[in-house]
Amino acid sequence: MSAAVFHNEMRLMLRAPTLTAAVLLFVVLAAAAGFAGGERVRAAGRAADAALQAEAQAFARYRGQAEAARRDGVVRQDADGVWRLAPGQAFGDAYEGADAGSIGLRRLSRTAVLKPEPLAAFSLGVADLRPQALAVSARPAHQVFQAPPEIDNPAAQGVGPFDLTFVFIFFLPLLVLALAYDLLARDRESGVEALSLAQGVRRRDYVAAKLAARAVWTAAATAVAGLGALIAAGAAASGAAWAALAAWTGVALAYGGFWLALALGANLIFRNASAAAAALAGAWLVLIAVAPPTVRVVSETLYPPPSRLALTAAVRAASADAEREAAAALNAFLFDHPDQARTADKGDFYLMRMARESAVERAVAPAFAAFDAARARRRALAQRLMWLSPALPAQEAFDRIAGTDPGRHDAFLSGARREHAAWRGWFEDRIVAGAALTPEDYDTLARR
Amino acid sequence: MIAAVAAAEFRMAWRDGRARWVAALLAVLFAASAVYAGARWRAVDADRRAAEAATYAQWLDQGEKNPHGAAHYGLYAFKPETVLAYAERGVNDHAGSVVWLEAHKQNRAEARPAQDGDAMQRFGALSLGHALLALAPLLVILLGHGVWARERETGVLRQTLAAGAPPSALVWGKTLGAGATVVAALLPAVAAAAVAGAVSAPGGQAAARSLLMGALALAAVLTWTFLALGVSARARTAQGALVLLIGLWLASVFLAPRLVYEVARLASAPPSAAAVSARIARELQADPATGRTQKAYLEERTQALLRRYGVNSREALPVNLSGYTLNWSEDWGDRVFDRVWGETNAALRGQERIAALLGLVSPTLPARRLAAAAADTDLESQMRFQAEGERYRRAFVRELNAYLAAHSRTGQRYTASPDYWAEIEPFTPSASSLAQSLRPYGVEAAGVLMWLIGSAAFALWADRRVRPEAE
Repeated sequence: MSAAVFHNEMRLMLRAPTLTAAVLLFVVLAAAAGFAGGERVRAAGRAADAALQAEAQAFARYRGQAEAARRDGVVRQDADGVWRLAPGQAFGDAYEGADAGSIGLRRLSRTAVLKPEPLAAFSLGVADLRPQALAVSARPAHQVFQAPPEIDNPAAQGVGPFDLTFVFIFFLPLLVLALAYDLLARDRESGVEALSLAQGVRRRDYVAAKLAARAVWTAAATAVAGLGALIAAGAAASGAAWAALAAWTGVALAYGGFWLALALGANLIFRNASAAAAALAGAWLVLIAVAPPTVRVVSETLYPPPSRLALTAAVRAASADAEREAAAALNAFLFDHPDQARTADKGDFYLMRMARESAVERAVAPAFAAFDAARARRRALAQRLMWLSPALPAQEAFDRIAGTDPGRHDAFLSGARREHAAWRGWFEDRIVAGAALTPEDYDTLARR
Repeated sequence: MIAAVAAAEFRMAWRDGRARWVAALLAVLFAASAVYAGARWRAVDADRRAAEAATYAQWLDQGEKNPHGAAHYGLYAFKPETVLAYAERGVNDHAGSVVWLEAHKQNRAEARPAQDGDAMQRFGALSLGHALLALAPLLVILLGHGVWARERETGVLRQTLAAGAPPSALVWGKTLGAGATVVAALLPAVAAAAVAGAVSAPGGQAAARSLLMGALALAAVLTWTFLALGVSARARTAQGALVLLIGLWLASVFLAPRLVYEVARLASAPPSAAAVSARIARELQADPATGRTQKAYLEERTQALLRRYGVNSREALPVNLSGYTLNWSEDWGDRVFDRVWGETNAALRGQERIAALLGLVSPTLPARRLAAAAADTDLESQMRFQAEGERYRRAFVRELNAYLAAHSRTGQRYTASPDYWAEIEPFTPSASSLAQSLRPYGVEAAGVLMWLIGSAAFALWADRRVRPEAE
C-alpha cells in the first residue's frame, strides 16, 4: 500500500464538505435512532416493573389472607400436617388467599420478563410484535401463551421502526457509496491515476491505499455512530455493553465492507464515475429496497404463513369437543361463577375445572404443534433465502446482538413453558389433595 | 412544435437503456405484487370464511347449556379483507383480524400475521401500493433528471434555442414527453391495479376505491415528474440532479415515515398492556371518580328491581335476578371498557393526527395513508371493526342474560334448548362507504394536492428560468 496515496486520499476526503456532511448526518441519524430505541426500552421496562409490582402486591394481599385464614381457624392442620378448610367454614372473599384453586386458576400469576440485552435499544427486532412479559399462571398453556403483544399503533408498526438497524442497513451503504463510488474512475478520467502510476507506485498499492482510506472513514463513521447511539440510548456502560457494541461494529464493518467491495468492483468494470455511480445506486435499490420484500413474497408463496384464523377455529373445535363431556357432567355456569355456585365444596369445583382445562389443553396441543411446525418450516426457508440480500443477514445479526431476534424470544417462551409446567404442577398437587395455601406456600412460590 | 418536442423526448427516454431496465424491473414487480396480492387474498379469505363458518357452527352445536355459560363460550368477529388490502397493507399485518367476543371482557384483536414473521418483514411488503407510490417515482426520477441538465451539459439545449425553438414549447413539450414516457412505463401497473379492483367487492365501491388508488398513483407520478423537471432545470449537472432527487426520494419514502411515527409515538404514547389490564381490574371493582363499588351498584339495582315488582325478597321476584345482575354487571363493565379503551384509542388517534401533520414533509406519506384508507386497511377501519364487534358482543351477551332472566326464576342451573342458539345471528360487519373511510383524511388529501400543485409551480418556475449554460 502506498502511504503517500493513502495520506493524500485522507486529506482530500477531509476537505470535501459534502462527505463530512454525509458522515455527520449519518451520526446524527444514528444518535436519534439510539435515543428513540432507548425510550422504547425504558417504556418496556416501566411496563414490566408495573406488572411485577402488581404481582408483588397480589402476593402480599393473598399471603395476608392465608395468614388470616389460619389465625381465624378457617383452615386446620390434619393429622398428616396438611392444612385444609375446616368443617363448616368457607373461604369467601376474606380468606380467598388460602383457596389453592381460586388462587392458582383465577388470581395469581408470576410475571416472566424477557430481560433486555445491553443493546436492546439498537434493534427493535420482534420486540414490538411478541409479548416481552407473560403472566405465567396455573391456567392451561393455550391461554397463558396466547397473550397479545404490547399495545402499539399498528399503522406505525406497518411503516417500520426507526431504529439503529434501519439507519445502518439503509444509510451505511449510501455513506460507503458516497465515499467510494468514484474510487478509481474519477482519477482515471482526470488522468491522476496515470500520473500516480508513472511515478513508480504499483497499481495494486495504489488501489489498496485508496481503498484503505475509505475503509478508515467507514470504520470511523461506524464506530462514532455506534458510540453516539449508545450514549443517546442511555444504555448502561457495562462490560457486556462494550462487548455487544464491539460485535455490532464488527457486523457493521462487514456490511460496509461488502458495499466497499461492490464499489471497487463497479470501478473496475465501469470506465467513468457516473456509470459506476448509476450501477451502484441500482445495486442499492435492488439489494435493499427490492430484494427483501421480494424474498418475502417468494418465501410466503412457497411456504404460506400458517393461518392464525384456521388455528382459531381448530383450537375452538378441539376445546369444544373436550368441554362437551365435562359440561355434561357439571353445569357450565358453575365453571365461570364459582362465587355464585351454591355448592358447599368449592374444592371439587376447582378440581373439575382443572380436569376440564387439562383435557382442553391436551386436545388443542396438536393444533398448536402443527402451527408451530409450519412456522418453523417457513422460518427455515427464510433463513436460506436471506443470503440473497446482504441487508437480511445484517438485520438478523443486528437483532441477535440486540437480543430482539425471534430465536431469543422462542428460547424465552421455552423457559416460560417450563416455569408454567412447574407452577401448574405445584397448584395441581394442592388442588387434587384439597390442601389450603399457607403463608409458607407463598414464601415458597415467591422464591421460585 | 410542442408535439415534436414531446415525441423527441419520449424517443430519447426509451433509447436510454437504464430507463428500459428500470421500467422492465418495475413491470415485473407490479406483476409479481399483483399476482401475490390475488393469491394471498384468496387464501386468507378462504381461511376466514372457513373459520367464520366453523366457529358459528360450533356455537350452534353447543347443546343444552346455561345461556350465560354460552355467553362465556362466546363468538368470534372476523375482519373481512378485500383484495385491495393486499394492494396496500396498511395496518393489516400488525392489527389482529379476529376478536373473541365473550361475557364480561372486551378482548383485543388477535391473529396478527406479523407476530409469526421474521427479520425480512421489517423491509415492508411488496404491494401494489408500495410499487406505485414508492418505487414508481424512482422510475420518474431516472427518466426525468436529465431532461434539461443533460441537454445543457451536451450543448443540445443551446443548439435547440439557437435554432429558434420557442422556450415555452420546449417547456411544455418536455413536460408532456416525460409524462408520456412515465405513463407508458406504468401502464402494466395501472392494468394490474384495475384487475385487482375489479375482482374486489367492498360494499359495491370497489371501482371507486380502485380509482382513488389509481388517482393517488397518478398524483405521485406527476408530483415526482414535476420535481424532476424542476430540479433538472436548476441543477448544474445531470448527475447532481440525480443525486438530489434520489436523496429526496430516500428521505420521502424510507426516512420520513419512520421518523414521523417515532415522533408521534414519543408525543402520544398509549398506556402499557399491563397498566390497562390493572386499571380495568381496579375499575371493575370500584369507580375511581365516585368511589362507588360495583357490589354497591349491583345492590342498588337489585333494590330498585324489588321495588319495581313490589316484593320484599329476591326469592319473591317473578324473574331470575341472576340474569338481571349479570346484565347490570355488563353495564358497569362497559363503562369501564369505554373509559379505558377510549383513552387508549385516543392516544393512538393522537399519533395519527401527528403523523398526518408531520407527514406533509413527504409527498409519499400522505398518499400512502390515503391509499390505506381507500383499501380499508387504516387504523380507523380497524377501530371501526373492533367497535362494531364490541357492539355486537354487548348485544348478544345482554340477549343471553335477558333470556336467562325471563325463562327461569332461580336459574343458575337453567339450561336453554339447543334450538335457541340460532336466535343469535352471526356477526356481519357492515361495509364502510368510501366517504366514511376518507372522512378523517382531510389533511392527507390537502397534502397530496399541496405537493402536486407546489411541485408543478416549482417546475414551471424553474423551467421558465432555464438557461443554456449552468448558472
